[in-house]
Amino acid sequence: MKTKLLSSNKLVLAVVCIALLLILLDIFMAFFISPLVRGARLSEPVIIVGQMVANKLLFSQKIFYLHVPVALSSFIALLFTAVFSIRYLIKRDPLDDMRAYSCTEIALVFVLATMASGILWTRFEWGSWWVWEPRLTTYFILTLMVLAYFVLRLNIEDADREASFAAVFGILAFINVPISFFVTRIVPSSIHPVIFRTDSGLSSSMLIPFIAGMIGCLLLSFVLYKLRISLKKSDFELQQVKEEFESLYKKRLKEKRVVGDK
Amino acid sequence: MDPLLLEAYSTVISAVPFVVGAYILIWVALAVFVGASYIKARRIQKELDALKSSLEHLKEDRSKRA
Repeated sequence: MKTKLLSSNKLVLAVVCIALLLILLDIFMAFFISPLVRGARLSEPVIIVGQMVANKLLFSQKIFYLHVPVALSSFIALLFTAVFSIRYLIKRDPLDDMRAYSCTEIALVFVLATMASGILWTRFEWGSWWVWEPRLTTYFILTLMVLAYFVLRLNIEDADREASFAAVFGILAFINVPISFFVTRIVPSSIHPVIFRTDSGLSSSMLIPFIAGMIGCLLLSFVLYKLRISLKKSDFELQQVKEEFESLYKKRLKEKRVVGDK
Repeated sequence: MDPLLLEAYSTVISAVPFVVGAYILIWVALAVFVGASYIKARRIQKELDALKSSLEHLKEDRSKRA
């Protein structure tokens, strides 16, 4: 059977295990090994476990260890949407359209996970569920564009037109990715934390879980992509079998009628 | 407890529900996606198997008649 999804493919199963192990390592290190970052100054320094602490300790930053890898995975999924969309527009191969569609589905999951985790951090740190800040605004536009991609696909009947329009829209949605990524560096009024910069100075106990989470999320995206592409291929096969069955069934009905007339 | 220690850790306890909530929401999003894909895969497989067997019967029937 073609649609024996994850269980039938040993490589995919191995990748799932590695991805989950890396993400669990990320979470374990984030909570039990990585130090708490320092916030506002204390009225007086205090000694904690033999160390002089002069600032409040921030636990909310722990969200970063999974929120950022998930957000970056959404960007990478959209990059592949654009790549396969361009390939579709050049070669007109339906498989490229399926690949672009699957990548956008992965992007949607990661975008929603990023928004959900980000909103909780915003509520705690900034005291509001939403702030019209450059990063949040551009990412919100990105979310709407990803959702619009599916609305567009659902509303076009003709398969070729649907694939072509979706390919163009997929490329347009990707344009927002570099804007959203760099906006915190370009716009000085942005208050969103910037992780990737030359002076970020992440210690190894913070960098290792982050990298583990990043690789884990990328591997997980790959597995989810394989899952969706396999689903789409099976669905395509189903449509073909349906058509074959219908045409044979009609022929049989005609034959029956002819015999009946005689 | 030492009031200075309390001040140093003042944001830790209040942040716990938000941090845990964020991690849970990420896993829920992934689980819903995987679950929905699994359900769809099972439905397609079921439909495909049924159609294939019906198609086989139809073909056999036609070849017998021929």
